Amino acid sequence: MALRDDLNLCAPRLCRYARALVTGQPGPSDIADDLVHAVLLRTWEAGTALRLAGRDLHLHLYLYTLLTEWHRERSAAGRMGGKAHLEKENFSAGGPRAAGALPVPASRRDKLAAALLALALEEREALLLVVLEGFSYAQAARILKISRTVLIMRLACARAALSEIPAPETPSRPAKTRPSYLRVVE
Amino acid sequence: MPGHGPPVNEAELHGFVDGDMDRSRREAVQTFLAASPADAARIETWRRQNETIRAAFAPVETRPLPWFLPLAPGAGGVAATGHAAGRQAEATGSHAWRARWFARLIGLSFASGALLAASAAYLAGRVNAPEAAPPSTEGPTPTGMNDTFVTRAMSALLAFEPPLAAVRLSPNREGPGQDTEAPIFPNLPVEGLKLAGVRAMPGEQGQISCLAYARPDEGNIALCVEKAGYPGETVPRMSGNFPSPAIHWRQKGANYALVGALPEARLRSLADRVRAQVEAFDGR
Repeated sequence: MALRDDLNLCAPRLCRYARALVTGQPGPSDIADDLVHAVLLRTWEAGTALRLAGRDLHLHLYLYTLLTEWHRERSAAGRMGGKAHLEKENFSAGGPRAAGALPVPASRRDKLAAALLALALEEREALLLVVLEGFSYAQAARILKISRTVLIMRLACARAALSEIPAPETPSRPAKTRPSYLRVVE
Repeated sequence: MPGHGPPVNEAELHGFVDGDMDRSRREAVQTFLAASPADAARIETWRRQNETIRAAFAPVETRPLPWFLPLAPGAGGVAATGHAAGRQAEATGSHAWRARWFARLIGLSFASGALLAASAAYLAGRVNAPEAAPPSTEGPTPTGMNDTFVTRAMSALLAFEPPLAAVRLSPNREGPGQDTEAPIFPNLPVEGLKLAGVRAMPGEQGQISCLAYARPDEGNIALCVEKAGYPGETVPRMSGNFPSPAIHWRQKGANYALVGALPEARLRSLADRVRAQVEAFDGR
């Protein structure tokens, strides 16, 4: 029971990380969602057999490690790149699954996705684990199985490459949507 | 560099932005940034990057997830499905008798499912399917699910209009279609459904077997299974629209499709129960 509840609590965050990692987009992604589903199922099965929850293992780290490794394997096998690209194109083209899914304008969303996908995979992993998922350097390094120094190097490379991503929305934005029927009458 | 202690390095600047830094060094970094506008500007850029990324992916956490986890308690040996975002179905009760009763029910369903699978395999060698829909010109979907499979599952449902008489399930096991690795063919556990017939047709992965169920005063429902051409499992996904929607997924080495004039929620609920049966069958 505890493990099931823990997995369900982890699922949304894991989904967020997977989508960012695979497509750079927050919208639905078959590949990313399948990856998360497979990771959760595998963990559930392993947890049932090994009483994972009772051993006080770091479930979060385990899930992210598994997902990262499986994504790397699929990428290395050459399956992910083309499909992710196709999904990205479909998403950008306003496919049925993407329609109305996000409040962010397409141009900003696409720029961010393009910038994330342009990063080297290991840089993207490091950046997303630290920035998006909020892991400490020690935890992120453990997930990626690298040293803290290497992690920071990858972070630095990612940040240097991401210098041109668009800024987030500001509160002043609604002023642009002033009703067009109001005119100044002289 | 002003201040005390070792000079501030690049790693500490990143740690400063990400909040991964000792308090003792934080003051040193702040002092350093006050004296170095260029580095302060870099820090501000990194902060904006962080905010942009977090803001872009914030909606993911609040949306319902598109999959269903078979994460029910395993005490009774029954796996149930539930929505990961909160509508976990408590398929088993806390009482032991209830669990045992449910386990027996599932076991009975498996027995009937196995019988139906054997029957479908037997029919494969004898029944042709001239009405089968032509293969789709599209390739496999990104998850490896064959579109033709879903299309043919839909055509199988149409072939049962009006409902056929139930096919006699022959216990004869000398048919050419016997396959010891036949996909699991669960029984649809819904009240009011009545088995209307079994149909087998050629598919791209081999044979497609379909069970058609009749509903009183409503359209039929078909559950079709074929051996999967790809490894792994997929989440249930909808294809088509009402009144001919289909939900399909890959599980335990087989492609499954459930077709029928049902609202999406009911079709998904039914698919969950089928998936739970297949999952539990494998665990025994």
